[in-house]
Amino acid sequence: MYECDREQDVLDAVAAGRWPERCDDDLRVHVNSCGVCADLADVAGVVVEDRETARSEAHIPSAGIVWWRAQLRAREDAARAAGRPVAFIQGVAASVAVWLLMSLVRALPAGYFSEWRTWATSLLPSFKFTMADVAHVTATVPLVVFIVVVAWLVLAPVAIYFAAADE
Amino acid sequence: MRDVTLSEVEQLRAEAGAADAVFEMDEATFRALYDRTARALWAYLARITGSADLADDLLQETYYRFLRSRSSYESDAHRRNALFRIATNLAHDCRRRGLRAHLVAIRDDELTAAIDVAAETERRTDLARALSHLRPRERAMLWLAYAQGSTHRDIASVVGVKAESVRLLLFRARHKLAELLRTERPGHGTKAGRHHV
Repeated sequence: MYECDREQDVLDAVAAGRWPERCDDDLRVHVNSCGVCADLADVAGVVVEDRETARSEAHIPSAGIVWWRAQLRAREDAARAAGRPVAFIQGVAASVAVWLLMSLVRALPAGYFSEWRTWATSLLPSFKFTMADVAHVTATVPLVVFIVVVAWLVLAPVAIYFAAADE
Repeated sequence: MRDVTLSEVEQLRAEAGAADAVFEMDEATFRALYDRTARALWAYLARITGSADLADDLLQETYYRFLRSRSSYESDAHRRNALFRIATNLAHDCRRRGLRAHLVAIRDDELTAAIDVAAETERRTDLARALSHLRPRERAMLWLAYAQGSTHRDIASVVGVKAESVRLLLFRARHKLAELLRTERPGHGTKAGRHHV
């Protein structure tokens, strides 16, 4: 058995501060003979007393302070959230720019900056990318579009950087 | 003191407006809600975590998350439940991250050394120590039921259990705490004969 019909009477007596001295005799008799109500009286009595102690020792800040801190935090979070996609785009754009630059260097004819070109080539993946490929791309894609895309890839990270720096 | 320029005033006004727009609730409503709930919420956090310092931190965080939630509430009771639910989850997260309640981590000998001779302090320490032996959910349920006077449905919504399970879970937690209190203070308790007819 884990419930008793008189639980509410016990709770009411405890909440009203009538337990145990100022409550009905029959309730006290019942509690002494009922395990469920005995536990309830003990626990509820202690918790209710402790609630008053805890509330009196609570040193809470004023509503204005909490509101002000929440505003500050909201602004910080908003700025952080806004910066997240910018940082991601910067990262992608920078990666693409570096990849493109290294690919173009690799595509240069032999003899151009031969020593460091050999070193840089060794760092690259093994796929082939030559001037012929560039020529093929420029032949199939209009030159203006090609230049715009390359310019965007190079300049976009710089533009984004300055835009973010102003904020 | 430096004079504030017109553009700075406009900027401050714009920033304040932007922050207000972030929250669904206006400041006056928040102040009224805070004044009604903060003390009870702090007491709840202090008792379920066993640490006043942690309760201080979690109180601010609870209200911040509540303001950011952008939920609409039917009544004051719903708002109160939402606050206690957020507080419960934050306390749970703290435990998971290893920020265990200070009191729970205190060894018995350290705790005994800290016990004040005053009867009030002794009683509070008994309760704190007994509570520290309970599961966090049990502590939360007991506090909500007897300190807050929450209904079973409210308790279920705050601690995340089925409403039908609350009665049994509460019974078990209550029995466990009553036994612990009797162990802590052999002379204490109804069954031990403190309350004579």
